[in-house]
Amino acid sequence: MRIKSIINKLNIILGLHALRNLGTIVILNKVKNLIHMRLCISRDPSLKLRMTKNRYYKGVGVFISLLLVISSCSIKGYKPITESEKNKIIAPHIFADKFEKVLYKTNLDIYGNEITGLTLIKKTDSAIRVVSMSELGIKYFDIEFPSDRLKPVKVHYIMELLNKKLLVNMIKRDFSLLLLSPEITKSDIKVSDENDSKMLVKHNKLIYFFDSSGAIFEIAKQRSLKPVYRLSGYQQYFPDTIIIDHGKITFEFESIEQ
Amino acid sequence: MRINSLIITMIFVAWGSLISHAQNDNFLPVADIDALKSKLSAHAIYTNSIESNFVQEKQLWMLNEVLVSEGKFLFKKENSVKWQYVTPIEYTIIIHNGIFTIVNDNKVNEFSIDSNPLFREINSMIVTAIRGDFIDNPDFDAKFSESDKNYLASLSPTNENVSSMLEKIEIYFDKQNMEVVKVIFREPGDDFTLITFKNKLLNSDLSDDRFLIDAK
Repeated sequence: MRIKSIINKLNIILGLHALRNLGTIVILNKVKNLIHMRLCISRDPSLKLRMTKNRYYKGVGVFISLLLVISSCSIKGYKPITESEKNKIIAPHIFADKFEKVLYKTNLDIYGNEITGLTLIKKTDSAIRVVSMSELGIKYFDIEFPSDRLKPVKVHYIMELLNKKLLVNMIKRDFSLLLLSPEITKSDIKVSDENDSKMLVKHNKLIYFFDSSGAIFEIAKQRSLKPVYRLSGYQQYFPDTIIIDHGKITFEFESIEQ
Repeated sequence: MRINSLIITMIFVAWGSLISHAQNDNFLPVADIDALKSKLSAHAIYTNSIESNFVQEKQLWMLNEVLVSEGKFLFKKENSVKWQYVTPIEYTIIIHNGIFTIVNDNKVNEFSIDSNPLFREINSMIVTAIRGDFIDNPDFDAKFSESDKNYLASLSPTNENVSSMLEKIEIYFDKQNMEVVKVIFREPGDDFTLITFKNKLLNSDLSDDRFLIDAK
């Protein structure tokens, strides 16, 4: 009885979603079929024998992965952008085109080891350079991010104690993400039901949340919805604070007036 | 933590020499090292306390940038040291009563010097430098040169971990009074940090309270 009512509910949900999202229908349909399959098995145990074991396990696997897909797809309270809204949109960014340079007070926590100091981010002719150093002026790293994203990121210097592949790759990826605006399609943007200046767009397994000025205030993982990058206090052409949270490795930047 | 500690060690050794004794025209090797040694230790005996402002200029050649920080430096015999940045950020390092303290954003980190071999080592290096005998210190390969006005001590760290961060420390002394005029930390590549000392007050009546965390 219970399983039957679940199938009925799924049918109702399918009806509701039919107009909104074709992808969701496909997924829910598959879930419905799987539940139906289990229902049939429970009614007629011999059916299970008729199914090959492999197929059954494959079915369960698909079911689990579909559940994961469903949970990652559902961001409640956002609707697709309308044509008129689309034309008004300013492309999401963190460091604006007019950005020149900024000095951040820096706090890096790497597996409980706290490293503090200053970070200078400065635009050059063809790149943005990030130099991090201790309060006493000793450099931690000096990395160049070309404006042309096809060109490789160049590590000019990294302190031997920090020269670990995982960490270097993390710093490269984080700053590439922060410094170079995501190349998104405007029609993929969704707008908040409640506040039309709150928007999101999915790109490269990440969800970018931004406001009507295009200022990105959060970047979260699509799968877990866990915010990894948090940005706030946009005043000029850059955010006042940047918090990057990778769990055991966190980076915090707070701008300093020069 | 470890990285900053190493850097702090280096900078303290440099001030140690400031305390005991340090400009660039035409420098030639010092002919009489023993004479220089005795000058340095005489100055160390004479110096009971130092109160000075400092300006730190971080030169980033490729970026054509100079980052300027300013602060205050205090020293009192035997080994109380306070290195306090005031701008652009507040950051203080204190060594006092055997405790090594870093104050960052009102966050205080304290380390007992005796409990931690690294800090004990830092402490002994500071004291060594204060006494003025960094000349024979195994942590550095020291070279001495002089011009008409100045002595220059060039210290190259012998520890590989340190030398990968700091190629050389140059300490410039005034020949007249053996006081440190400036210190340059040279990094691998062309970048360097220049620290100049201003409004120096020698043997003023410096109370111990000045080395407390909240003291200005």
